[in-house]
Amino acid sequence: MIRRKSTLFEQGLNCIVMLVVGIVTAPVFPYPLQHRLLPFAILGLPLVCLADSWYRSKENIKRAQKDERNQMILDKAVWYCYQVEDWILIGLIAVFGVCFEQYELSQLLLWILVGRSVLTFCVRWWLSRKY
Amino acid sequence: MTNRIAQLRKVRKISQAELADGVDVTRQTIISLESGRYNASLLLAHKIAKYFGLTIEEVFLFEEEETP
Repeated sequence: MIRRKSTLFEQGLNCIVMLVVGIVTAPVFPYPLQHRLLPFAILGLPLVCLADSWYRSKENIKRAQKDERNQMILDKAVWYCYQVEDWILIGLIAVFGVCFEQYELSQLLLWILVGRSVLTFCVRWWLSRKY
Repeated sequence: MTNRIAQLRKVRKISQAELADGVDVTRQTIISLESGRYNASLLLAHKIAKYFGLTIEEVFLFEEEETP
């Protein structure tokens, strides 16, 4: 089952929670402090989503999810980010392979790039058959 | 593609929020349509035209693209 498309607001909330989790789990924080802060950071997402659904009616959230302009913006954003990720991966493959001579890491990144490209191709082929 | 949505709304004294509710889109979509930054799909264009009781051609003005 494909997850429903989230609204811009929901995606923003997800980003904030992921950032907080990333910062809290960073090595600069001592482990006991991380251990105490992490549950609060992880609980943050459902709490914020509850607050969002309390603030906005279900109807408004559903409308924002299926709004065609929002869907167009999401599709374009995903495509732009996909291309940026491709270039970042290619750059990292070159940097780790050529500059740092970490060939295993470079190979891993290469296979991630290959896997993404093959998966995208397969999904596009399946969608072109479906529609 | 330009449209007369803002003009029709003002004549009928309908707010952007009311129009958005009527055609089941967000208010931001109505704002983008009126400013010309977004072109409605055929389905949305039909819904808006039906909301105003007009045809699509009476609401949306198609401009032929110049061929090089």
